[in-house]
Amino acid sequence: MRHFSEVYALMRRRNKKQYALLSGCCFFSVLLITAYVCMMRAPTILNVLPEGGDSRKQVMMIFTLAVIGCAVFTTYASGLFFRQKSRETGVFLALGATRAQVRGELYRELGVISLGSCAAGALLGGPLAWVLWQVFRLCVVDTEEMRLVFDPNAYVLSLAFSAFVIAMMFFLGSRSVKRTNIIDIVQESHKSEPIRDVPRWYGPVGIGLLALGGFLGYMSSVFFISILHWYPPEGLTAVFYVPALIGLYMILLHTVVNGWNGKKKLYKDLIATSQMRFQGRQTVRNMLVMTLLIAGAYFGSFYTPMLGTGSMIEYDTRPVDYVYNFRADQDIPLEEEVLALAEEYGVTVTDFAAVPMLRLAVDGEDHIEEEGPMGTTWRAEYKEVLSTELFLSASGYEALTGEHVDLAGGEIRGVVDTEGSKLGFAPDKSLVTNYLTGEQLPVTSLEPLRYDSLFGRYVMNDADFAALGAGLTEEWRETQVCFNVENCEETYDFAKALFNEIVDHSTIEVAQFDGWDPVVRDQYLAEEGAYFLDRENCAEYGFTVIDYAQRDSSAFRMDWQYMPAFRILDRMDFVKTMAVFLILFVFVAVVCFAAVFVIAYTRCMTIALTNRKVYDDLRHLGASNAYLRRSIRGQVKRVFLVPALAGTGLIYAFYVMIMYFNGSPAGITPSEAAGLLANLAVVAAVSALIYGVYRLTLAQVCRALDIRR
Amino acid sequence: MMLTVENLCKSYQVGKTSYEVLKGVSLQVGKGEFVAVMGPSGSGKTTLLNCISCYIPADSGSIRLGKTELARLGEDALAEVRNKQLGFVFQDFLLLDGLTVRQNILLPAIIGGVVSGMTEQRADQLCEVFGIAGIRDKYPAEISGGEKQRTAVARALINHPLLILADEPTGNLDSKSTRAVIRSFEQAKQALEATIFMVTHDSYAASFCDRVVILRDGVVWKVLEKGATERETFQDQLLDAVREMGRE
Repeated sequence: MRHFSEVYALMRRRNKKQYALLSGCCFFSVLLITAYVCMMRAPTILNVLPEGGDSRKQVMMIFTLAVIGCAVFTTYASGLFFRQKSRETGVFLALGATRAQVRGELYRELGVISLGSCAAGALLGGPLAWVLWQVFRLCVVDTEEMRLVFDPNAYVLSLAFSAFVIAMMFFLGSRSVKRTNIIDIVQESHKSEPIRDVPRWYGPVGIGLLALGGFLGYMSSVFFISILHWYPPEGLTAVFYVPALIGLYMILLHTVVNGWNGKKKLYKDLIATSQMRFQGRQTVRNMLVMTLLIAGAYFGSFYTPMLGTGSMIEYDTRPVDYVYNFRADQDIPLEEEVLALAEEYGVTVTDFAAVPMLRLAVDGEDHIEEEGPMGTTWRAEYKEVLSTELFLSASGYEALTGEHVDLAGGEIRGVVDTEGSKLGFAPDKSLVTNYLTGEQLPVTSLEPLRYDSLFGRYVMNDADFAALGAGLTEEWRETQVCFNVENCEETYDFAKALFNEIVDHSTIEVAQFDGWDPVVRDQYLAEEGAYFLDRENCAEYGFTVIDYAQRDSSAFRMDWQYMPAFRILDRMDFVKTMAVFLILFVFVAVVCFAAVFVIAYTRCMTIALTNRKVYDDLRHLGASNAYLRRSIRGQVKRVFLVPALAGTGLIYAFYVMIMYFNGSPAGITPSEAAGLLANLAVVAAVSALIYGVYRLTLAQVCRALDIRR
Repeated sequence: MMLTVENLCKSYQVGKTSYEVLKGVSLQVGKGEFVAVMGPSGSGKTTLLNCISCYIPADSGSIRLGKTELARLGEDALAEVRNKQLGFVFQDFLLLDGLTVRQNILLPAIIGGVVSGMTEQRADQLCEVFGIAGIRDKYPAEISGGEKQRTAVARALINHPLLILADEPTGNLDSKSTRAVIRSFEQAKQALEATIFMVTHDSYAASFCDRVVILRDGVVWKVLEKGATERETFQDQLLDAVREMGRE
């Protein structure tokens, strides 16, 4: 061994675990980001996440979180690497190596590690995404729309992230060599991080700020839009979450520095508490990042059980097995054809009912948007003819539901679901109009009826129905069909066949996005020359273009205005319909939790490195292995437990708040409660995983400090 | 003179408070001399050594190695001085765990880029001189504290330095290992004509030196010459001086 580079190579072989950890982190982060980007940018995914739509925004937001998570954990892993390497660098410099000499070797080494691991991550990211996707298709669900096609442009983002990783490693490496004071470098691994005294009120005030910030952040947009009639610029509402962030920081600071036990366990926890206090600043920052990532990961993880449980309950509580409606000008299968098809599939149809509906214009408040110096504001303007709704006659409603409804002339009742939710539906109308003849009927809205399968419809008495229907053409008339089947669970093939029949018999005129409204359309055409929900404009405005060829796609099933509601079809195809969302959110959770584990591990190893002398001294003072183990466990536990508790509690409380306020009236519905319970199961599973990683890390830390059982 | 320190001042800033550690230290070390610096904690011993090693910059004053004014040197030239003209023995040894004893000894030569067969022979010779030939292929984790320190001394000598700087070289050692280290310094002085500048608080170790400089509160308080005095007597003189300092 005669050359400096040979010394470096020897040290590398000797410290291969440190190199493996750093390379592994870089590789893992680039791999995850590449796989995520490949998936996110794949035309397959983009097709189901419309441009400008909420779901795409949500996926982008979580992707940003994942990038931050990966960036943070690679930075921490690099920091730990250079910290561990600092002693070696210090010895070289102390013995007369020039900085250029050390830097040269370090750069060569970093070049190999960073380029190698990033290239491997980027190269394998695509195949990983593909393999995961195929496994998902094989094990869970496979549909035509799930054929994964990659967009080569996805690699641009992957390369950008790799460039960040490489630049960050070189920057940190260069900085570690650049330290002017060799003494600092030699002693860096023993450097403590002092912290200012933290008053005890930080804890309770932090909790208050956290709750306040969460509430303000969530409610601010409601306040701006509903009370001030002002659409705030994007990002403004995020400012209202700032107190929550400050509160969280204060809570973590209080937990690390003061603890919540007061002076009860002062002597029992003395070493752990004191050591944490002196490494407080960095530890609290780590904990904050971990808390946010855990919250983000749970946000992704909760989506699936919440949606799944809610949907399953909704399917189960539907009062009718098969429900569909169609425009009167469409040649859609009716009783005769349905019964024939049922016979073909050996299905027994019961309670078949098909009743006419009218599409009538209703009055209401329109929100007129105006551009001004403050941005976009809106004002409410009453319109006698605002939009259309579907009306049933009282006898028709009774034929469908078996429920007799007594209505006098001029009285109407909206239909809400059995949980009484009025979300997206304002049943109080005072004027109903035949849009073609101009015939108007002032009405009184009575207490809404409750029937899940007819949510959003209105009921009026038979005489009003006949009078207002006079003169309406077929485009303004619809048929509502409801029926049950025997052994519903075994009628999937029939359901699928009937669904295909309905789609096959629907013409292009009714290939409309849910919410398409002929009255609103006329108003838009008159005022702006184009209607955003017309087929030709949907893509431009970020709405799904309904395509009968894509009838099994999630977009079609969620967005087609005449999508039938067949209990068995919806239940069996749920996973298929939501597959794209499920896999994306699962992926996000994996990325975020991986970041959390790496940060926690690196932080705990840093603590071990920093405390080595303290533990040697304690051993000299006669501390047993059991005592040392208990003491280091106190610190490692805090690094894991505090962010896990804070992140989990935070996001769960936030979710409960969203569930509580998102309904109308506010409250938790049974399906939401079931979803929240399902999420508790997720929390339990993830907590078990966190505990496993905590035990592994504790074992590593004990090994690093030579603490035996 | 091998080493000349003149009016050296150094202070540390901790928060808003400035602590003056060296308040105008002056001393000289001649070629082949074995000099110790003693003093109570906080007297500035290690700071003086770190300034001479150029690990930390002095606020004012001058340090000359031979005729070279160290403060005027650039970073690369300083590195060369550290590598070629100075040898270091640290309190914590600072051996690299991933290198064997022999590789650790060779390290300064490797850094200097001058490893020849001669250098390797010298490393082996140093192992023989300091009684560590039997462990030369072992790693630091496998040897005792005394052996580590002797390895560190051998490493300090590999490049024929003009001056060896030792920071509490016996601080972490038992009496047997302390004797072994002091013996290795004496061997270095006699067999290799090394000049040694050692910081210590151990009067036993200092009693082997030709001269002992006692620092107090950042200034040279007293200089004791050993001359022809017996080692034990010289150690008593050192202890008396320490006691006297404590009384003042």
